Amino acid sequence: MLNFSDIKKSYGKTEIIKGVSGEIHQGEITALIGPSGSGKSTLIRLLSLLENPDSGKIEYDNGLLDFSNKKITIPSDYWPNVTVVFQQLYLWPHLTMMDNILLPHKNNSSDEKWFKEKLDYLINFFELNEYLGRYPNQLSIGQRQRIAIIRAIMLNPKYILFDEVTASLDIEHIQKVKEVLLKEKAEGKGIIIATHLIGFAKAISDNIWFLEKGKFIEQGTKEILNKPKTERFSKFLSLIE
Amino acid sequence: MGVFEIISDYRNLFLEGLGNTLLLVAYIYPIGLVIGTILGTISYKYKYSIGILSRGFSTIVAATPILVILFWLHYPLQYMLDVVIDPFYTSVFAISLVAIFLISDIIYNSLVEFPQQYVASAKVCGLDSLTIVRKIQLPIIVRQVLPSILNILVIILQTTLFTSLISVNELFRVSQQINAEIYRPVEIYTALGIFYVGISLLIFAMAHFIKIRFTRNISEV
Repeated sequence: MLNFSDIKKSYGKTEIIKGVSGEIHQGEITALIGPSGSGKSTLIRLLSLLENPDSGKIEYDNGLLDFSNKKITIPSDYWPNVTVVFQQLYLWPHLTMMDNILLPHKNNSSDEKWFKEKLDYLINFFELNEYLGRYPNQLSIGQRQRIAIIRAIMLNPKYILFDEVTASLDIEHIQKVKEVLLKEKAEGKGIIIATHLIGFAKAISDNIWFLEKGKFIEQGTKEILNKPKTERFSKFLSLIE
Repeated sequence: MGVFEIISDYRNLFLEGLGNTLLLVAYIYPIGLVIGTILGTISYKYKYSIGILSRGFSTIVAATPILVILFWLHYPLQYMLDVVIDPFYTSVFAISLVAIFLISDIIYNSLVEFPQQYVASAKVCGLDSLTIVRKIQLPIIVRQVLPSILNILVIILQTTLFTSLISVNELFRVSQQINAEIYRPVEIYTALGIFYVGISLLIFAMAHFIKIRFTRNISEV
């Protein structure tokens, strides 16, 4: 379980994340939704510990990180057990697509048979066979996005945080991503997806977190998409529909 | 007497000068590249201590003409310390000092400007620090700094010419000696130019090889 409580983050005098709490369970998908600038990407960076929160706590399996204590030691197995697919992807530009997937694998000790079978399946499923020898700047954003998803899944993490995972994908590939994520969920992964696509969130997620101005306005099961409790969330949903 | 005739007639002298010039850069290049890279990396890691100090020195060194540094190290300093050092080693020290700070600056700036998102994605993929430096940062930085480092190496080659003024028998000093004997300035200094262009072309060729072999264009279209 990945729990976080009262997480806060400011840049200068501007408070971006204002004391949010939540739980990410393995085998569940949580959709993080909210308007642009609400703090979704920042929250993902904080939960992935690429930036430390100013205060609050993150409980990861058996370890507790208390950010009121300034000396925080990140547990050695936090990455890649908690990993991220960034909105901007950040594939390494000097490596081929295949090497982008293989480099982390060489550094991790995952089962070779599992790795080969899963990689073959994902590459075929996303129709990327002919692009593996190419470099990121030789491919479309949609193709890069699918490689970034594969790279994260092939790390065999416990938790995957996706920041706008479907941003550059067409309907057909969104459907495929949905299928893959549901499979990962079934295999016990805990998943967070920051997304603008309410339909996608509704179809795939177990839980919904609605974030606005750095605060959770609503959190609950996906039923809250049909019956929002707050006027603000209701208005937000009506604008999208 | 033509250019190539002079080169042929005075080949022993030219070879001696060329040898000394190459020996100077053979000392200065590795010292500058290795210590400059280490200093640049440490300056980046400790921006507010060693970094500020290093950049302060770098500004002073860059603002001081190499001739002044060379003369100061060769005459007043050795007089004050009551020592006599071979001008060759004084030259190596003076020009290496300049090379170290110039290269350190380039490395420091390339690290400051390095796109941190690639390091972030490496971290969340579970790569350790050494692998991140070796497999992610270094290959990207090499391509980024190669043109600037190449310019520095060529400038350093040309700077060795000043060492003739403290009696190092390098190419320029040899050319002056030959000119004093036969007074053919046009031909002799053209010959000198040919030698410098030749060495510079070698440096360019090496840099081109490194670029082709170890890097690729990573810019977005």
